[in-house]
Amino acid sequence: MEREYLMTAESVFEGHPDKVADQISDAVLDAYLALDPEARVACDTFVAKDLVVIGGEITSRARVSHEKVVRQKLREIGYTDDSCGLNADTCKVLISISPQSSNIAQGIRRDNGELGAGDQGTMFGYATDETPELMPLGILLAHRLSQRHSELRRSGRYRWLKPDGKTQVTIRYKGAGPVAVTKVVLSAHHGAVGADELRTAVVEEIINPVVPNWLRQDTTTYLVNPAGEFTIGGPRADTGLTGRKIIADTYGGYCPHGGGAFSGKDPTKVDRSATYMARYIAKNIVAAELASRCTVQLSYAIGEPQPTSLMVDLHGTGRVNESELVEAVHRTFTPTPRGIIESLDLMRPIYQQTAVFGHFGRELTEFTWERTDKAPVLRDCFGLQKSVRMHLKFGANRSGSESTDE
Amino acid sequence: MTRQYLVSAESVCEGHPDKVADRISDAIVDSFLRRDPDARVACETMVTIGLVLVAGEVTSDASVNIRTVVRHAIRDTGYTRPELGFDFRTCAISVSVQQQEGEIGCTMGWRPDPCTYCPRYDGSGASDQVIVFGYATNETPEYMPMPIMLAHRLCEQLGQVRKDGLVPYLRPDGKAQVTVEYSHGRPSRVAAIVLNAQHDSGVDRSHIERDISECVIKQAIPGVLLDDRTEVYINNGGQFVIGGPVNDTGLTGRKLAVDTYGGACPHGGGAFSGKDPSKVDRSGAYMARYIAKNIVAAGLAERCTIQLSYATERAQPLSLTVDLHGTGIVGEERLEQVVPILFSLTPTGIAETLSLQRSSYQKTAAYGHFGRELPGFTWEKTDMTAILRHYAGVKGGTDNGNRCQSARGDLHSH
Repeated sequence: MEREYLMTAESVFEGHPDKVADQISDAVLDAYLALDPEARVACDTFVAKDLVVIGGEITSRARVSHEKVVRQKLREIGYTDDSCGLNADTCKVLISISPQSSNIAQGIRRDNGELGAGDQGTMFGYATDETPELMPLGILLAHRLSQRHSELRRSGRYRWLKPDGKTQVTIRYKGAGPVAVTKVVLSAHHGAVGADELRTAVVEEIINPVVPNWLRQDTTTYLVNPAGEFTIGGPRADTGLTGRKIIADTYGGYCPHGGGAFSGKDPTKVDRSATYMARYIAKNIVAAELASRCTVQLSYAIGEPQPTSLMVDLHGTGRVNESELVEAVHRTFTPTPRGIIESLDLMRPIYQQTAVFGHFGRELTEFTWERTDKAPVLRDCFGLQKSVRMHLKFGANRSGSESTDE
Repeated sequence: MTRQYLVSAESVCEGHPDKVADRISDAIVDSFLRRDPDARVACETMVTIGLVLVAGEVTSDASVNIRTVVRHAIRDTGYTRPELGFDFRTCAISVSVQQQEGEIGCTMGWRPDPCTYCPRYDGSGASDQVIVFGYATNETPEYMPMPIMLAHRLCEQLGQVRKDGLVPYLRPDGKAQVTVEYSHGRPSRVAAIVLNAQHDSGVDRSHIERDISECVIKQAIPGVLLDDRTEVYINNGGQFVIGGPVNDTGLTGRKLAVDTYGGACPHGGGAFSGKDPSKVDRSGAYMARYIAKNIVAAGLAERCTIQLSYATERAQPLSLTVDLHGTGIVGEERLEQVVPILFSLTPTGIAETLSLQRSSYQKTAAYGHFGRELPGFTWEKTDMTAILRHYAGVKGGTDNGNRCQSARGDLHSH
């Protein structure tokens, strides 16, 4: 098993056109949830040149000015003048929102107050003990770089830094553990600046603070804007659509994906809520040290509250029997649409912040699916004692190095 | 691996809004490629109530009437009746496609998505860092995971009985999900089928259930896989009269798991539809499937995942990873040495090997890009098995084709 291999994961910056579309969709969702927790929202966004289109089905008592929400979000992202690719105040905004089909609404509600799944679907959750956040290292570092880019841009110290861009991190693994960062590619959208100044700023202010020392090697290469100038960016350069960064949103290719997007969907939609639940289950299994890697698959049938299948794959790293673990998961978690909403408290306007820098591995209070409160319960199911806490293992691993903790 | 477990996968019909968007995008790619095999196309579509938006970038000398292409694509998905609420004749179409002629496109500089920074074929590198996966398994004769294969069959059959008029009240939208029970790592039975078909108003639910059960499920799913415990949910959400773009916004590239392996292997995140074959997002994924399928068909493993990653500055892939999931009869390192010798992995090489400039992509836009042995699906050929066995140092014996005969018999017996 001591095979060496490379894994690459990518993250896109706040101003990437697809991410702009995701954030607008989730801003609309939050605007409704803030006024009406019962709102049913499915909102897709299309951003092309100076045109923003939002389409979808919304059923709610609340009245929301969609155009205002769109412009506000664009302003927050930083698209405030034409030179950076889009102007929040002058771009065209087209709204095509209609009430949700009564056909589907009928499918969701059940007599006993339980919700049936609003749609069919397959969802995956994943966790691995290679980082304290129990996330794959590659995607975690890529998101950190995006976040750092955003902080730096907002600090105003580099006025030429524009909102668009992306980054990719390649990690070398030996066996199951990461041993080095072999390559960081970062392409940043910029205004008037010399190539050298850009490179220095990106390496010193973005890459160095994020990539931990113990993973850096002499052979680690940094490619900054490898394709040359990147002055035309944002929606002016490329069309953006909601739900087109589903791998960056989740685990960066470390585990399969059911295909369902998150942004713009309210938590009654299992595409979103059950993927959060699957992460919650997988993370608690790894946090309980029942395995060092875990993939959970859930699937639903429209109208049915219970999942049609629940599978747990411990990738040969498990300390317990997988079939017994499935039983334990059923006893410990409630993977019905209603059960998920209640146990993760999802009917809140918390989604805009999920739309950038990843939905998982961020231990913010609103990210309830990142809690590890069920780990002791899972351990009890197998009569296991408390053992050495996970992060102690990490302390030992990277002795003397700087921590990646925020 | 003595335990039993369930794996699910879904597929959608060609009238599903996201698939309508995929088809429109691919119809545009096809119409440019037919006139100009070197055309560079990246186009995205949004379909909503009564409105189709197309945006993107094209580098080509060919002139294409995009509006007509869009209307024909919508017609082919089945939106031909005004009562569906979305009609190819009357829907509004907004086109925002920027076209550049010939070589100019290449000097446009870096663009945020892999698809738009596109050097030409002549010795060029890949467009950006891109990761793609390919997968194959010998659990079906098509070397595809069974859940997604069966889900596609259900949807395709649903479309067929609609077009044949066998079930005349069906409408174009619909979707299916199949849960397969595995035991000892092999599929043993179908545990659940979920099927939702859009239909005309005023049709009795029990009538729909009977027709779909007889004309779709029994035709698409081999009888040996069904038993008394198979749970079947037909239109479990109740009436499904309003569907398609009226009910749901459709976007290009939103059905990645349906397009590939239904979640049986990871996904790099890049969509296919709307991209010409110079984009490794698409062509690399086709190549990865070709390699994985040939390895499994050669009997070198029962399951195989290929991961390729490409970087901006070079045409050769940055990394190639072969994962045989512990089922291989040869070492993974050995295959990692052999594959680059036998398969050309540069964007140019892939396009040539698989004749991608001559393909018709509209056909790929519904019912899956993989596991369909149709003309034009060149990445499904298994013509590299003998040479793979030779280079991998495996002598004599037969390939996996024979091992699959029994499975093939089962699946085709109906």
